[in-house]
Amino acid sequence: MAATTADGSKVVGGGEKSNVDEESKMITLFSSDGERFEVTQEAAAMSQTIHHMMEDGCVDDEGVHLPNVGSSILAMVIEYCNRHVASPDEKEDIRSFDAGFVNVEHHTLFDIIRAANYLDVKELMDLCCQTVADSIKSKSVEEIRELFGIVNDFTPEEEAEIRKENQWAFE
Amino acid sequence: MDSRLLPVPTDSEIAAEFRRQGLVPGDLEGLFRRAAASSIDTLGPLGPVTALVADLLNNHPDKAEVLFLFARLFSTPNYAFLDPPVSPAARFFALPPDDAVDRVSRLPDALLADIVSRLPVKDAARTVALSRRWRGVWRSAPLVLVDADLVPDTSVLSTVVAAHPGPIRCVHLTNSCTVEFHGLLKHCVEHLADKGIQELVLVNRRWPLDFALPATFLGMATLTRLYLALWKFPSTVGLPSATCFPNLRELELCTVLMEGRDLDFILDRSPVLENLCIQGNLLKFHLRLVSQSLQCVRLLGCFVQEIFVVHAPRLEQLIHSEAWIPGGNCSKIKIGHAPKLQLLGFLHPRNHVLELGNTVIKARTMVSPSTMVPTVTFLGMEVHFGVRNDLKMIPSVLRCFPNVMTLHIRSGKTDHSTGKLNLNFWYESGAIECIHWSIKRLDFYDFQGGRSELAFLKFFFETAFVLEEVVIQLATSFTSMEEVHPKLESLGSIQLASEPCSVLVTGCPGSDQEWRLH
Repeated sequence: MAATTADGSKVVGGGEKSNVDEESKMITLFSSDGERFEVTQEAAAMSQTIHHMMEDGCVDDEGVHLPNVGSSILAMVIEYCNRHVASPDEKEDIRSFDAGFVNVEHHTLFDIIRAANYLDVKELMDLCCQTVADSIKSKSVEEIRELFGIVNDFTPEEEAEIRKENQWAFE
Repeated sequence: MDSRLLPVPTDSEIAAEFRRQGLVPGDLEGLFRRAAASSIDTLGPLGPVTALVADLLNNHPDKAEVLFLFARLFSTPNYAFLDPPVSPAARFFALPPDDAVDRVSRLPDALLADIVSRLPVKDAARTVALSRRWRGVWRSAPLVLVDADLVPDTSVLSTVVAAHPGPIRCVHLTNSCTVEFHGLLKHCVEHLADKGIQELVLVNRRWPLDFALPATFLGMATLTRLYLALWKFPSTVGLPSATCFPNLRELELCTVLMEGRDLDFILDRSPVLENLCIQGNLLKFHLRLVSQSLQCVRLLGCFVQEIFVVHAPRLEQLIHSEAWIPGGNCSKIKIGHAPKLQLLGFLHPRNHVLELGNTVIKARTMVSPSTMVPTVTFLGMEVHFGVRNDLKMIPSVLRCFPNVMTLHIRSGKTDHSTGKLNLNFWYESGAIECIHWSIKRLDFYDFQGGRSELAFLKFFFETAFVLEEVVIQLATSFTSMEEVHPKLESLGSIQLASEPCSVLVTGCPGSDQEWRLH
């Protein structure tokens, strides 16, 4: 999906290599580790954060710096946005893309959640949070702790009290 | 539709009620006789509903039809609700972590709350026992409650609603049929109103089917979407005029007993309402639409005396179908200011009186700019091809909608035919602009193969110059394609005015065969 052009900058999403250019409607994004990504304005606008910056005229010729998002995660977010603006009506294809997209390790998922939250990409947030929720469903408390490595820092008395308070949930 | 709905255990209850009345279960006629004899008070929970239907029976000679409607009230409700926001099924799967480092707990509160609010309520509440970090998360996340997740112990829902501090985003109660349900409702409603409920689906699955909702219901000012089924709406008489639903965008009422003035009250006080759907309202009512926000109005199986779109600048769809119009009554559709109306259905020449621009459209009405609705691109009609007067209305009705692109016609069955109209009638009735220049698609439902239908289709095909696609759905009375063939032969000989047009005949029960005109 990413091709490297002659001067080494990555072009993602199949567009011409250029900065913010009205005609080709591309925008440059910089990850926290300084990597450069070219994205169509349409895909970038899936991020409400970037969309508002574009609308308010805050995007200069250089592009947008995203100090909170690392390059590997930003690449994934861009992949998601590109896919979703490309053919938004092909529901079946998109569902299978989404299912494949989240089939990554949980820690990557959490990083994507943080990035999607910062960039305000609602659909991506929905997808990733739903995936984490899906991995919690129907599991017992012990199973969830084991899955995520959560340490039980309650005393036995505290835990018993909590379970009793919400008895209906534990039946 | 939520496939987790349990079968309602009301059939045995209904049967028990019948027996209590000294009737054989299912003896609707017997029940009617009781109601007609004004012993409604003795009918217990069946009383008020029966009174309503008895009233209809007095106005309508077709007893079979009334009984059919009545039977529907007693059968398991089958509604298409909003899909519940949470479900126990997992759709998306991530890879299991390869180390035991707890990264999830490092996510900020708001994100953990987002994740927890996507869980069925028991799973969500259990997260409080995970660790200290998680203890407060469930209570800080907006509550999403689907009672199917509490089954079989649905009475615990009042505990849950009371225990959670709010806000309450979404509650779907579609499965609660325990004895305590009606009793719990009042307290639940109070909690929901206090805690900012946004989306509420409330289906009554417990007799009586017209249990009155508590008046505190009208205090839920935070509602954004409301679906009600099988209730009696609280009276709005005497309410302070400040009562308002400032956030309500969607309202759907299924078989809800409601006075016209109560409906008007709600509509007047819902300034951002976009979607309105009323199903199965058997009480006669008027619908007067004055709304800056309404986009889509659907009335299904209702007894509406008049729909008057007074001023609805954003209205795009108006659907009135399966109308319940007891004999002798007429339903009026009057369109005033609806500059964006695109979809209109299903006009019924016999039962509907159409009034456009202050003119009632009759068979010989001369069309003029004030009687035209040029924005409509989808028009639905129900036509009885065996009734002359129905057919005579069609040209003048169609002339009111010059820009229709899709025409949807359902061919109604008639018990008595008052004579067919042949091809000459259509040609003599003069040019019908939308057929010649605008209609690209015709959907013809319940095609019975009658001469009158064929005459209309012949006229249509021969004069529709921009027609691209025709789909003819066969009536279910056909049992095989062989039966249909002779009818199709006459269709096959018609000369299509529009060359690239495809004609497809489909829907033969028991067979996948289709027939195409070349």
